[in-house]
Amino acid sequence: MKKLNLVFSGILLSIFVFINSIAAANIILPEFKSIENLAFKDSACEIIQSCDLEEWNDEFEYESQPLTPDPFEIINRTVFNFNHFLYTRVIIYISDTYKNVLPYPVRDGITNFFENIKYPIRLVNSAIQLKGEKVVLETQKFAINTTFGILGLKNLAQTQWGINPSGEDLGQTLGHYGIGHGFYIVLPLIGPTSMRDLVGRVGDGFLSPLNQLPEQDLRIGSNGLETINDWPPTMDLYFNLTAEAFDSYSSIKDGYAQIRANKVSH
Amino acid sequence: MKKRNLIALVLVYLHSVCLEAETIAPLVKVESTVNIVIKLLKEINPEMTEEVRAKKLLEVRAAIESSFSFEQVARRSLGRNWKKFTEDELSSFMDLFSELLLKSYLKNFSGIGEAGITFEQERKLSEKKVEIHSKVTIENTQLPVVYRMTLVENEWQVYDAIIEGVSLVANYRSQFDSILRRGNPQKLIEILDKKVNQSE
Repeated sequence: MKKLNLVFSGILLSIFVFINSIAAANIILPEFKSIENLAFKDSACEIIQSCDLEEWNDEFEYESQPLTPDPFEIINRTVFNFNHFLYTRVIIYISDTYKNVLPYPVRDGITNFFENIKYPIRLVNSAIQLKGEKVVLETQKFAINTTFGILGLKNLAQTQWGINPSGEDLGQTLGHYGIGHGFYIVLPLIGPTSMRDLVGRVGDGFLSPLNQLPEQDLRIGSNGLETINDWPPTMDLYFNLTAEAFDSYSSIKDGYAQIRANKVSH
Repeated sequence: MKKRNLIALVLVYLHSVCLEAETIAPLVKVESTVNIVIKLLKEINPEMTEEVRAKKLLEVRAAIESSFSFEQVARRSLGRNWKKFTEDELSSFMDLFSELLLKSYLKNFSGIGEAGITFEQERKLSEKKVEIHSKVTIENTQLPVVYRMTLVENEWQVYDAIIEGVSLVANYRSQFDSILRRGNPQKLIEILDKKVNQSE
């Protein structure tokens, strides 16, 4: 099983590096820092009927947003629609039942437990990014929550000590070192990701203590519980976003790209 | 009850007159507007008659419009697509989009408790732009919300809200870009119209 995982991640990594190099070579990011930098200044001024620098900056303020190429948009939209069907017809009922059976403090405890146990992922990625302060804060958080927080069930580090570093993962580490998303992917059931973040997800899987459990049933069970426990807040967020959206697919895709860009920059 | 409504209306009027008299610091302006909106929304209850409720909502609308520029949000959300619209199309778009923005603001402000929002700092981006950093507490979770404001005719107006790093204008822009890439302005207006009718 471990060999198979290794081969799979190797293949993913090769595809990712290949696609990323093509994307980097072909995509010109719109970096309109100043009107003076534009070679086509005169005709550009005419188009927006002004040469005022402030108006130019307004015009392009949102054009340098994180760019996530989407060459497989047709497939992605199909999977997105399938997921929407699944979320509205199946998952929401499981999520609501789970929410009714387990009260918020229990669900919160489970969330804290899984977050605490994934300390090695955040530690290693903070260290690779040479973020010393985060290494210290993550270690303090883990020590406090594992002991005083009863094996991580309570996040006392945050609530009592105010220790709350933003967690690092491999996707963010790759982004930190200048590797782009590659391209956007919508995974069945899981939802939005990108080639870079998918590679990161597989890589982080090797560091997750849940995947080191001796029995396969335990590994499946713990990962399954974590997924179901995440559904109530994830479904709330998903339905809030899509209820107000004019094009749900684009809204979720842009939201994902902005959230990840924000995480990479912190 | 009528007396209270009258006082509230006078307060909102005075508030807008004050805002006209001089340029109020952006942080003070957005903080006072958000606090007034939350307070007015709290006063709305199911026992109110439809008439009183409608009046109250008008006050909320006036307060929101004193600090949030729907035109700036719309212009930046459309970006260069703005030029694809005829004057009539722009007018329809503005009416529908403003209606939806107002409903969205009302929905989001309704979920915030009185002590649930703290304004922290003002960061200057340029002579005509600032960012106001705030934190919203809902249940046990703290959400960072950044308001971006611009100077329009000597008045600071909010043109974007960035919630947990997600800019609403950028998000609208990506949606409008996608719709207008595959259709025309009329198509976008139809989608907005459908959305307004859905939420009524």
